[in-house]
Amino acid sequence: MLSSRNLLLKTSIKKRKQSRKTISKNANLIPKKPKIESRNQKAVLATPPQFSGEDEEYEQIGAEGEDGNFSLKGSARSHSHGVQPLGNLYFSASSINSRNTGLGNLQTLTDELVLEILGLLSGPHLGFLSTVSKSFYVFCNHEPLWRNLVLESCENGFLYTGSWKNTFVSCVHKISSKIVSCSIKVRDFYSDYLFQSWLCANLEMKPEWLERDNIVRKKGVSVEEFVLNFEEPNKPVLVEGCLDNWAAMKKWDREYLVDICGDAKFSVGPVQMKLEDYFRYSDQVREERPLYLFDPKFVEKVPKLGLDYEVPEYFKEDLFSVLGNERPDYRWIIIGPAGSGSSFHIDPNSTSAWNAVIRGSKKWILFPPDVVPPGVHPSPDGAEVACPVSIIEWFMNFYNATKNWEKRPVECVCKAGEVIFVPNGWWHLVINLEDSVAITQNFVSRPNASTLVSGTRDRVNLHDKFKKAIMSSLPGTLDELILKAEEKKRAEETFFLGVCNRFKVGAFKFSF
Amino acid sequence: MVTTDEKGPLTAKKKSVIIRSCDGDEFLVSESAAVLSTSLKKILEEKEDRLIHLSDIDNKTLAMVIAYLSTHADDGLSDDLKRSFDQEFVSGKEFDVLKYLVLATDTLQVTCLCYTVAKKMADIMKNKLVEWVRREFDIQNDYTPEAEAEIRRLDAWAWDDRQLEDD
Repeated sequence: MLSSRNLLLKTSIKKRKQSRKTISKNANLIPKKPKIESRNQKAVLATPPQFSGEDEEYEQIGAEGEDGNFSLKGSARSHSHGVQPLGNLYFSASSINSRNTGLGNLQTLTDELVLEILGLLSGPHLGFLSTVSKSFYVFCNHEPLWRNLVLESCENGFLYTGSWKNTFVSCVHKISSKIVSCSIKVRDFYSDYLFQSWLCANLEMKPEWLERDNIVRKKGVSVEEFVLNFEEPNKPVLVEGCLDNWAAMKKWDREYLVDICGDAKFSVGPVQMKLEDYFRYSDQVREERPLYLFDPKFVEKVPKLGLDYEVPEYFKEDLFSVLGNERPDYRWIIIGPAGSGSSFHIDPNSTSAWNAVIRGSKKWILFPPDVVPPGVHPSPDGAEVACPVSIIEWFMNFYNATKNWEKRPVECVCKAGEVIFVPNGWWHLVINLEDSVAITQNFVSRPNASTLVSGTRDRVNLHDKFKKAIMSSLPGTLDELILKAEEKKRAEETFFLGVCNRFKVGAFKFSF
Repeated sequence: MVTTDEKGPLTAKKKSVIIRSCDGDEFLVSESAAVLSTSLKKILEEKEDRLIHLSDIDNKTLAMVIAYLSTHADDGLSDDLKRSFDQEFVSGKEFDVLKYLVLATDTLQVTCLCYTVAKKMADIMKNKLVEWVRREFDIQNDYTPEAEAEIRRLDAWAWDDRQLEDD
């Protein structure tokens, strides 16, 4: 599931290739982090090599101003190697693209293919190939290559040190990293792919992407009203004020969490790492798709975390709980920096979800089950979704298209202390606007159980277990649900896409 | 030129398509082989026409890709046999040939073959002297000697104890 492997999937010429991933339960968040000054990226980078005279093209990383329509994150650096979009070549005096001269007869390969091939090499190979030419240097130092190498070789965690390459060298080769943390600029290197990769890592969310806030907000709503107006009709809602009694709201600052989590390791993408080490990474990183901490066993690992929150009363009825230990993963703690999140997916197993923001804030976009979001292409069986490489890229390329759609998405920014209800079958995208910490749970309540029980016959195992468990613990409920299911048959058909892929046990996989 | 694939002469019930290379050669391919390419599959879903013209794939490369597709579409072959076919397929091929293949499989979206070819290309490049890479790919060294030495010094960790080959 690593990104470089996904580079092979190409669905359009103009846009960057799309990633295909298994529909999974994803979320994101970040805790409030006191900015540690010395963690500033520039401070971590060692002095770049000094070249004299004619080597003026090598410059120290500079904080060059950027112009154009995009605003960059305050601390954004210009492209670390000076890569420019291809269009700039036509305005350049020299008309030489050092990408091509430095690749020789490999220049006809696309950037994606060059990176695909380099992605199959080890770290040392990339290290010495960067000596071939400046172009090789730029490609061999492409950070996502080193990220993959780190994630492949450090499944028990890593200490992030300023860049993925540094991290690789220090974690895998046990060499003090300062020596390799240089970055040189290469003049006249034009590549849309590499430029966009950098741009997406450094782009600020545009204000107009956050403007629309059309979700129904409720405060002090009764459970009955919630069921009648939102759960039963399967409509999203944002509930304010229902976390006021959570200890987590007061206690969960970074120091507290790091303290109580100690050496417990949490799932962060494909690796397991301590919370402290995760913060070390998330404080420093600037990348297109930051890893986020997303762990379904957080209560088992750190029981104290489970004591600091309780399921809001609206979501207490959960038919899946009858499965006891056999129920699929259903609750997660999610921690992540600004820019982390999940691109469009539908939650598996026909479940609905609630997501409570404890620190930070999240932008949500939701589409009803019968509207596939622009730029998203589910496979015919619904088990996989091809969508843009990153969330920010989706905003750049597709967000505007939603403005004129007949069926507009439901959007909001969910802030600390607020809970969003994500009804089953709804497509959703989430992106953290700042460092965030959240809890999310998936659940099956009575209104959506009728879909689940009747719509899942092909997933015999879980279906049967669920049915048996329901019959023994809630006699009569099943008949009632089946009746209801028949009435709702028509409505169900629109759910087919989502339902048919839901009953994979373990479908709550983390993917990124 | 019409070349039938290994499956022998076309039978009435088996659907096939004609694929034309950029240099005008035509290949008769069973539809079951063609659809292993995601791009061809999409084209076939969208149009009735059984003739597909590929404007940027030459006849030699196309013939190789079609041999691969036909082998993988053959239900009579075991997965093991297909795997050894894949290894045989890329072995001994010159880098330039692999380059055209990887471009073609990228265009046609034949993901498995694209990966196999890219892996072979990576294997050829690894453990090679920098001079070998420059010579093989006709790359002008655009570093000054000082800059090259500096880059090499910074990545010194990569060079430790490494035996590099020049052929």
